[in-house]
Amino acid sequence: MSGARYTIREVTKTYRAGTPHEVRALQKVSVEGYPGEITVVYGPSGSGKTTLISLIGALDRPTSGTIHLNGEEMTRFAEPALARLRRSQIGFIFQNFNLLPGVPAWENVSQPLIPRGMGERARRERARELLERFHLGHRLLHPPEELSGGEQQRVAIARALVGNPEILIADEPTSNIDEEEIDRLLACFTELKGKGTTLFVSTHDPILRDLADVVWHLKGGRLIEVERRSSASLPDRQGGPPETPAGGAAP
Amino acid sequence: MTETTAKKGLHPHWNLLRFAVDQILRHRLRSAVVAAALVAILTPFLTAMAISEGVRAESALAVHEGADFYVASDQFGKNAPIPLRYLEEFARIPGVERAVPRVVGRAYVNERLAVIVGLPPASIPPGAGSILKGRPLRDGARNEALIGAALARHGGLQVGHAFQIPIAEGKTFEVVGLFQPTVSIWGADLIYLSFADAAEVFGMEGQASEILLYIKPGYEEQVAFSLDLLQMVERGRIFLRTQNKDLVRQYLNRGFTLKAGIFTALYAVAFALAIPALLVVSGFGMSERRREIGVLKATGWHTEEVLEVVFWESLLHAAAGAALALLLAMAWIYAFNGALVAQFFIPEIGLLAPFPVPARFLPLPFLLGFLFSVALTLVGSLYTAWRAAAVPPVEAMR
Repeated sequence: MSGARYTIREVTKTYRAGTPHEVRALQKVSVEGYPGEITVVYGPSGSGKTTLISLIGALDRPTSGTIHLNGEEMTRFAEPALARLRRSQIGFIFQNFNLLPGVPAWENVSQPLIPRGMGERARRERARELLERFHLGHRLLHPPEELSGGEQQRVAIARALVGNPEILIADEPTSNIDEEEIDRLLACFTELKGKGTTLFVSTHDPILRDLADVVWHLKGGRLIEVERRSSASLPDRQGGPPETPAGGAAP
Repeated sequence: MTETTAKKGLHPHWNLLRFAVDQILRHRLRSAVVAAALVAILTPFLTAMAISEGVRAESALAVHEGADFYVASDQFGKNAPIPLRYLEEFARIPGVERAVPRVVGRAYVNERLAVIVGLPPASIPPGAGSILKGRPLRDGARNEALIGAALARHGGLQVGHAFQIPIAEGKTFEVVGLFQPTVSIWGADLIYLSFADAAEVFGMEGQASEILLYIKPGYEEQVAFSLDLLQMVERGRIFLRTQNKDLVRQYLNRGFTLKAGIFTALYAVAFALAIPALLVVSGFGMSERRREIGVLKATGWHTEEVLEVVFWESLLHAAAGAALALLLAMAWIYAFNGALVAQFFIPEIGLLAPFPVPARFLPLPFLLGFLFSVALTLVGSLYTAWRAAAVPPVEAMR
């Protein structure tokens, strides 16, 4: 896995545009993400974190601005190309997990493989392998309703990883789990980073900041600071990381 | 793992079908409601089509078993009795094998309206039915009756019983046999009498309701020509009204096709009205489905893959609904004798037919019903699923 490089330019996302209830979730955000790094998108509730990582994860489209992934402008992609991107490169862990209710853990994990034509036995094996890695080998047949919050999150992580994505995106991953699970999660993220996966994690939990190579600080839909925490030199930086956001307000 | 390697040699469509089956089983309530809606729409349609086909088949059989020509006289454009003196003339026409006089009328027997047919006993067609009890009518015997089993059951008549026909005062008939008609719709309320007795009952001495002509194969045109010739020779003393087998068959077919057509048309309207209802029903649990579609899209499913699952679901719903409707239609006919539907195709039978309503389940109406169901469920579910799948996943999951 080589990771992926994001270039985000002047991205704005407005909900209910043109109505009295218009919400500007993101305003002219410009920033870059680098391969193999853990980027933490940090900010208080309502700062636009989820919106930004949804755009990075190709789950939504910006109202204006561009996002380039590995040099390709993904904001210009048609829906089939975005779906291909989500399938082949991106894994997403949702804040509320978004597991299919009533479906056993192994099926939830292997669900992204269904349209790829993988046979049931192979899918089950792949799911078992991942769930055992997350200490859920004994929960293969349990639906989400029979799992704890931490277990559900691990199922969701396993599902996000089932396609071996280059990019893993997690939305508020610590908000629904206890401390022990948080430790496990941090270990998992570190391990993935070690394998070259590019991670984007949105959070308002300071504990995750310690894990980050870089922290994007958001407030009120604006990028107010890019904080580089890693002392190691960045690979193939092409001009190096911006110390202050290109289009955001100065801290 | 890349998309291409995963797809190589494997079966994404089979996987999607399996996933659709799982979805149906998982959303049992939604599936049950959709199937129930389809069953409610389809069952009366399949019942009606089966009865229509059954009646048509029996009619065809009756025509096949019947005479080649039915000749009556014409009065003011309607059938009228024909004098028996024509019997011998008709019998002399080259190609005529037999000429048989027949009297047909209706009368109450034990407070039940019966169809009384008078024929020379030897001329009662062997294919008309089978004797269940007793014996057939004997040539030359008088005041004997052969009664349809259903009429006997309802009228409380058994072999050896005597009964009277109110319009034939003073005459008493003895039931000598009970028969099960081959064609239930015509034969259930039938009483066979000798020709002489029936003519007496209806005051038609010296006449017949019609004369049946049985023709040697290949002589139909010649006999028809001879009847026309006879008409000319009579110079207005009688107008013959002739119906041949093909004409009767055409009348029957046209009648049933019309009735089945009217019923189908009514049903097409009902189907059209059912579309909005099924839209509501198949959109049942739509918010949950919309969120699920969002999750699928977010995890890399393509829109067409989501729609394929919905298509399989609709197909399976339709197949289940149509199969269940077929079973219920069979139950409706065989357990409840087609109550409420049969009267549309068989006149004057009342709420519950006194005889086993004929039915034939042909593949075509079932196929039509299945296709209607597929169309309905697809209209109901595919559009809403497409709407959910076409928006960004975040929006669908919201």
